[in-house]
Amino acid sequence: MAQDSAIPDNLYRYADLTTSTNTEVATWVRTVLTPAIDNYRRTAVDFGSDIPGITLSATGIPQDWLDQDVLQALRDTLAKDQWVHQVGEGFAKADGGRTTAPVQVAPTELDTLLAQVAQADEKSAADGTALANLVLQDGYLSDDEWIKRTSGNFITFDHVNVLQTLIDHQNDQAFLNAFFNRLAQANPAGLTMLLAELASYITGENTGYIAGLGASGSVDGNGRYSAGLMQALVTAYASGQLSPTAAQMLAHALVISDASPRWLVGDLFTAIAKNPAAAANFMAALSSQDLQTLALDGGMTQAGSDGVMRDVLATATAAVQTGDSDQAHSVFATVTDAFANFHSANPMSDTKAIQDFVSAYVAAIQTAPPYDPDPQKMADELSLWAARQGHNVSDALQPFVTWLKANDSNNAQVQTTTISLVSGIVGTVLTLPFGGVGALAAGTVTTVLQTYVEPTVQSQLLHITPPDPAGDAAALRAAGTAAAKALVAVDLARQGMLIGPDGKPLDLNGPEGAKTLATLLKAGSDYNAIAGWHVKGTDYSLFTVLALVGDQFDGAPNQLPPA
Amino acid sequence: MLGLTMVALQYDAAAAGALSRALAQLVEKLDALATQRATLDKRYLAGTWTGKHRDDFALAWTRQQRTLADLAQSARTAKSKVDKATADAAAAARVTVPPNVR
Repeated sequence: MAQDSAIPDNLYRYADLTTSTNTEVATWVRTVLTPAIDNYRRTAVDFGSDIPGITLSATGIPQDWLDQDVLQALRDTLAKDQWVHQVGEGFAKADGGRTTAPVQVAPTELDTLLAQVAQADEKSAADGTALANLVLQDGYLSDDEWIKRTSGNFITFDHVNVLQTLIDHQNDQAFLNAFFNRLAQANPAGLTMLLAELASYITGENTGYIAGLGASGSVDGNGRYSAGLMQALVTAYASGQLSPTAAQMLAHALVISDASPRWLVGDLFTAIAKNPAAAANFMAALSSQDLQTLALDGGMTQAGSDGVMRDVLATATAAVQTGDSDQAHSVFATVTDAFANFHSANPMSDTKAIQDFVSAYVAAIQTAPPYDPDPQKMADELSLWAARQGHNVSDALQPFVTWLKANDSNNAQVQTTTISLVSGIVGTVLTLPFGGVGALAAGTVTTVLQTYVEPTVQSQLLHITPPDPAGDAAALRAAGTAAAKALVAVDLARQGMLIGPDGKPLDLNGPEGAKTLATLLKAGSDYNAIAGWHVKGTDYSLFTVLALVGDQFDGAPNQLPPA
Repeated sequence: MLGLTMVALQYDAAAAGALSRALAQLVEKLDALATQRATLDKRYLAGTWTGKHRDDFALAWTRQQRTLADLAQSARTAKSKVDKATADAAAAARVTVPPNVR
């Protein structure tokens, strides 16, 4: 029989990211959709009382409501996607715990391993709950009492033992979720205290006899405890199975609370940023107010305020790369809302982090050009799509340019940074595979950037003059438009939808492809120069489509940065 | 006397508006979940995970993607029926339609 083959880490990534989104949607259904349906059903007596799934059973079976059907579908997909994680554990088990290389195993052997994994997960969950119950009963038990109650499984001193046990289970989702969820359910505020207590043993603020370690003061001479606790938190957040209360209380305790282990902040963000699922769930648990508080209080951290903002942006960048555009919108809104009200940090030192974040966001919310065989529908959809791409770039740039301008009166530096920002966004987005089409060659991207985007943005930003707010806004608008037009034209071309005067699609990988595209973009405002080019399946000329992109900027001056 | 007394209706335009918005969000969320599953399947599983377990998963996965799409369609249909009911009620001049109902 053929072998099964997989890379465990890849299975974990798939399972963790989809689990997070699934859990978030299920929570939303229970807290928003179900109450909305119940409320409507009570009042839709005279009108609207005949809607299947809402006021009438969807299938004739009593109580077959849309929200319940959705929850059932979410439970099914969650179970299947979580099973993928277990399969990953099975493969890892077959390869001595390694997770990054391909593993091959016979299907029957994998079945045996999966049964072992399921059994181990069950035991881990029970152990996690048991440890949480011990903490809840008395977090300050005597050494003797601890030994008695834990049958010798935990060494002697209470909180150090909790710390040690968490570290022993640092990659064990079932244990960590059970532990944190049980604590959050029974005593949410206790989580903050517990983390502060655990941290105190690592920093050495708390001293005591540590059996087996033979030391007092910090137990973390070699950083093992610190790294282990970080990994345990990453594992818990990545699972997507922390309860909303646990996720929020932990995030608050770690980042915001006065009782929090401040020393953790920089390391925590760095560790979490390396795991997209953990980053997405961690960012979702933080509000923009939390981020502002963190930034304003950043001097208390090791890294200082600029460093913290860089760490936050790196985590946010990972969080928008989960393949969930809703999540990307939400993270972007949280981060930009925090920055819009927070101008005391200097963004100039973090421009690379800003560029990475904005680029990742624009890439995450991009959608492939539409295609519909019905010419009228195609025209409508293309028009909407082109306008939306322009809007996306405009919305993405606006808050950051505002932030740059609010922090620096040096106009030249704002210009340079904005050119770099716009160019970086376009360059990054174009180098990603998109819409089922592979990434563009580096040379093609460079040609588009150097021939069209950068000179256009630069020439526009030269007009920025602080005493002239109108000219300032117009210049920034034109810069954003240039970026959006480049993205739209390249997206059309790489989907084979940009048709030339000879009736053939533009081949971006051909010898003259990139140059031709850059030339078309440069001439974009001259109808006659590009009149022969149109979009496949429509009678829309390239000129019209590019004008639609620009309209988004010209038509929405209130969305643009204030001078 | 006929037709002189306005009958108090139970139809609540605010509740209908809230449901309409929730159904629109539901469509977006279900579409987003299905898209994410497809994107991540392509990114992390396709090509590197092979064998019997992968085949079993792919079968169930495809069925689940169809279910998510069907539910999104049901939500769209329900939304248009809610919106029509609200419009009908408004036309009967018995309720006030909130401005944000689409």
